[in-house]
Amino acid sequence: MLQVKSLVKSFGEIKAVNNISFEVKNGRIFGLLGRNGAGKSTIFRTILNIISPDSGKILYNNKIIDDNISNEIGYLPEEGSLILQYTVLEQCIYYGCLKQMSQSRIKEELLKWLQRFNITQYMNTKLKDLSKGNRQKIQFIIAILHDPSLLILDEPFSGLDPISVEELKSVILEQKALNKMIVFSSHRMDHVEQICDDILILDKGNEIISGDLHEIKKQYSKQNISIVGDFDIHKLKSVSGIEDISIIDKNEYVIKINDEKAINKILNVIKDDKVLKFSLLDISLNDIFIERIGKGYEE
Amino acid sequence: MKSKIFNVVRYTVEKNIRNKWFIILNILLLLVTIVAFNFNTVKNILKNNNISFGDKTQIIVLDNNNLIYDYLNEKFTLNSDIELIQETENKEYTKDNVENNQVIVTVEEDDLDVKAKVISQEGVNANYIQIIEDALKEAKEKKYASTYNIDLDTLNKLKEQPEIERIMLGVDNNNTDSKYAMQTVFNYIIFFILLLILSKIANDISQEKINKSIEYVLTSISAKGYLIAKVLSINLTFIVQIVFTMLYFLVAMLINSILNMYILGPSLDIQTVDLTSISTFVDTNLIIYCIIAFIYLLLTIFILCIIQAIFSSKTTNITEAGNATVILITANLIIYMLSTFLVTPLKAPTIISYIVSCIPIASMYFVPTMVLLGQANIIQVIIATILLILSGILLVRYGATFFKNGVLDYSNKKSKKNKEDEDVIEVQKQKIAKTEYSKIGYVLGFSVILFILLQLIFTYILQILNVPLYNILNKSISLETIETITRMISFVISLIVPALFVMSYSEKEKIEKCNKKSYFKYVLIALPLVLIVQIVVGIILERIGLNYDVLDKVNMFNDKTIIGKVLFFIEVAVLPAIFEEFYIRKAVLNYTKKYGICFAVIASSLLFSVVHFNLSQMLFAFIMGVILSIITLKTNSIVPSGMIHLLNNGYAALVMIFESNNIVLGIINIIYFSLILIGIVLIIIELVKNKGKFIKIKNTVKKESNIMKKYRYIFCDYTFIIGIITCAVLLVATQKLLMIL
Repeated sequence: MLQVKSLVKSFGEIKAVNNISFEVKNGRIFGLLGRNGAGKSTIFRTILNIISPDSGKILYNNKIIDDNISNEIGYLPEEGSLILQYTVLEQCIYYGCLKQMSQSRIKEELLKWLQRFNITQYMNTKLKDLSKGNRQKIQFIIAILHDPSLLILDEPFSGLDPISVEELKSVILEQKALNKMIVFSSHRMDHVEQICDDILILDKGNEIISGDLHEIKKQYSKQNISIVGDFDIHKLKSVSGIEDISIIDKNEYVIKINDEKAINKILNVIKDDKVLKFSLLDISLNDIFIERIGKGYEE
Repeated sequence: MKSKIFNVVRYTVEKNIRNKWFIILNILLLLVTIVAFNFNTVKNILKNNNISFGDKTQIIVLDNNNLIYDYLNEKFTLNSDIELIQETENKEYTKDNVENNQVIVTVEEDDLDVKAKVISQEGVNANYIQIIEDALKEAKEKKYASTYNIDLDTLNKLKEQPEIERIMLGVDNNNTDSKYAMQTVFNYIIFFILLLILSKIANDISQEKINKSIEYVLTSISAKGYLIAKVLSINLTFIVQIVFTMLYFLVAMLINSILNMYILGPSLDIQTVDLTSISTFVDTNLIIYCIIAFIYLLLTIFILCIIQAIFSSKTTNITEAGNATVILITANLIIYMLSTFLVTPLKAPTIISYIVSCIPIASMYFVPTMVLLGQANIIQVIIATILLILSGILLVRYGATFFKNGVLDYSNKKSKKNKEDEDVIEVQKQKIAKTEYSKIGYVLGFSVILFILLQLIFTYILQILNVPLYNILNKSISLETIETITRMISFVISLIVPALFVMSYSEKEKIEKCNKKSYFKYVLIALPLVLIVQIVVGIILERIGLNYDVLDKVNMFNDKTIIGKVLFFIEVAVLPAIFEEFYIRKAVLNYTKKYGICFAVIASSLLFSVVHFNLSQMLFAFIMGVILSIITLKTNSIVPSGMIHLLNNGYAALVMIFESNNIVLGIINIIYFSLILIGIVLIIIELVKNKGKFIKIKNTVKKESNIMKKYRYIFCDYTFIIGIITCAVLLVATQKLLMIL
């Protein structure tokens, strides 16, 4: 279990991280969200002991992280940390050495992962000759090579094509099944929504929302109902619990409700009419994010 | 942590050693060592089997009185390369009848002298010449001995150098020379090692920083560990290289002995090193010296490596990292120079050298040498060693923090404060202004430096060429003329190059050309102004004591021929009018114009006065520069200012040329003063017509409140400052020179 307790870090007068606390449990994926410069990478770098916090504590299984514990952590830096003049193998051996792996084990594991991502042919290619996506895969392999129990992934999906994204997601979920702790950051809500269990949304170093993803969604669930059918929409106006009705198209409506009981009431009202579709729309993380951080957010 | 350091060291060393360039280098080294060691042996083998490189050298001796032949014969018979032939017939040797491998020695005899002539196609082996010389000496001695009835022993005694026994009571002067040599060799080895190791460290760290690899590395290992690992691994690589090289020597020596044993037979004498000569100065001091030097070398290199690592952690690209290496090496060089001043075998050390020798890094150059010279005392060595070790420990401890901060900092400069948004924009604007305005400093400063350098270089080069040219031209042109022409060439080149340099920075724009007729108007208007300035400045300078005409009278005119007069006129009037205008008005004024008219006028005029390099001319040149700049800006052309320049200089030149001819002088004066009169009239007309507004120039640059603040940035450029310093020094120098004249 990784515990971050009231972490504060400022650069000059800027507070990059302001009193942030969270926990990453085994077998769960923790998502750190925020706009560019929200403080995600700073939190990661503090966890990894690259920079020291102004105040606050970071405990890994109730121990302070030092050189030995760092062997159990796998890290994928956002901007990449590959020495482009090295070959894939050389790079992995170098970084593997730092994690106290034997050279034979490094080669074995590397081959396994390269096969997994279907890029075995690049084993002895210089990194500068690889595409950005392939470099990102190598970076991920380096993070996971020593079989760490805590994986820290800073923007792991950047530069990847949709198929590679799916590959990577499946690997991450596999790791989750192996009861590992996974923390990752992203600004792509869809990725986070699909694989995260817990989230923390940051803005300018401050915590906006944190907790279990499903519960957060429930909290924000001003649910929408989408109805397609030929009926008189004015009939619904009398139903209590409806906040807003918007007409999307002819015979297509989206009804915003603030009470779950309203669903049944609406159904009762229109049960005799010709209804083609009646579905509950889930609130997306994107909506929550925009609602809380502002409309200025773009990908 | 230890095992991680070990891992990194092992990995890095392995990678370095298995690097293909390392392998190629080592193969080359092996080959070179083997060849170098066995060259003589192979040659001997070939010789023994009567295979030789080319023909034998034939030395043909024409020695009728048999003065040196016997001696030569005795010396050369051992050498199988040489065939000695005695000839009696004296004939003419020319290029055609002497073979390439022939050396002809003819011996001539005077009353008391023996001389020889050595004729050959190409250079002759210096050893042969030495032998011939010895032979001649011997022959000469014999001749003297027989002529004056002195026996040879007496003669030898006479020739002996007088002996001086030197006793220095304060210092140990045994084997001073060899100790000196050892010290020098040791220091050269240090510099070589430093250069290799430090540049490698700088390169490695810079590479890892640029690729941001360091960020990953530091998640796995502490900065301290990484620092130690890097330093150790590079030093280890170097040690491996040294071991390999020693191995190559061993291999080469073995091959040599095998060749000698099996091919030439064991009887042949193998060259052995004469150990006795070395053992003469092996004393206890030397042994201690070797040990101390080695310990100090190791420790100091470790410290320097860490300093280099910290330096390179601050750099953001490979070039900067290289510069950091140069700084460190230069610092070492300075310390070394200091050590050669402070520690010599001929002087007892002062208290300063004791103090300096205790300072870490410096101690590497001081302590071992002082031990070698027997000048060290035990307390000093102990203090120096403790300080050295201590500084190493402290560096690792605190340097690691610096290193970590530096290595994770990718920005060129830290942004100091984060104020309100408006301020950020203002700060950025200031920064842009700074880069822009310091560029003016760079352009102007560098152009001045170019001007000065070119002037100096060309003047010297052409001065050397003057006399040869004079000879090549069969003295058809007088030396003075050639001197004038070369002076003119250097003048033109030294103005054109900086002008082109400045022009390459100015933006091209369409210029509305002024009406050509108005050129004359401006020329005429300017003339009386120039005259007034000339008179006023003349009076002022006379008062101060700087004689205005000093340069004119000293330097210029002493050629009475017609060519000389014409050249003088061109040099004084035409060339400055064209090329100074080209540089100052066309290039500099045009470049600085966009930064403000007033600034442009002042800057170009200052430059104009500086270019004259003469304190007495500078004030006048400056005011003249202002007038000419204004006219250039008004007309957008350098033609009128060139004309004014030509008229002004031309008048002065003509007056000097026709100094003795009153009639011509009178005519020139009449023309000049009538022009001035017209000018005065024109000025009055213009003043009445335009009510004094005609000097105004359209200012194209927006007025800004803090413009003076921006001009300050010009001084931020170091080339500008160097330019100023050079100018100032040169000014003082020329002034001194003129005073002497």
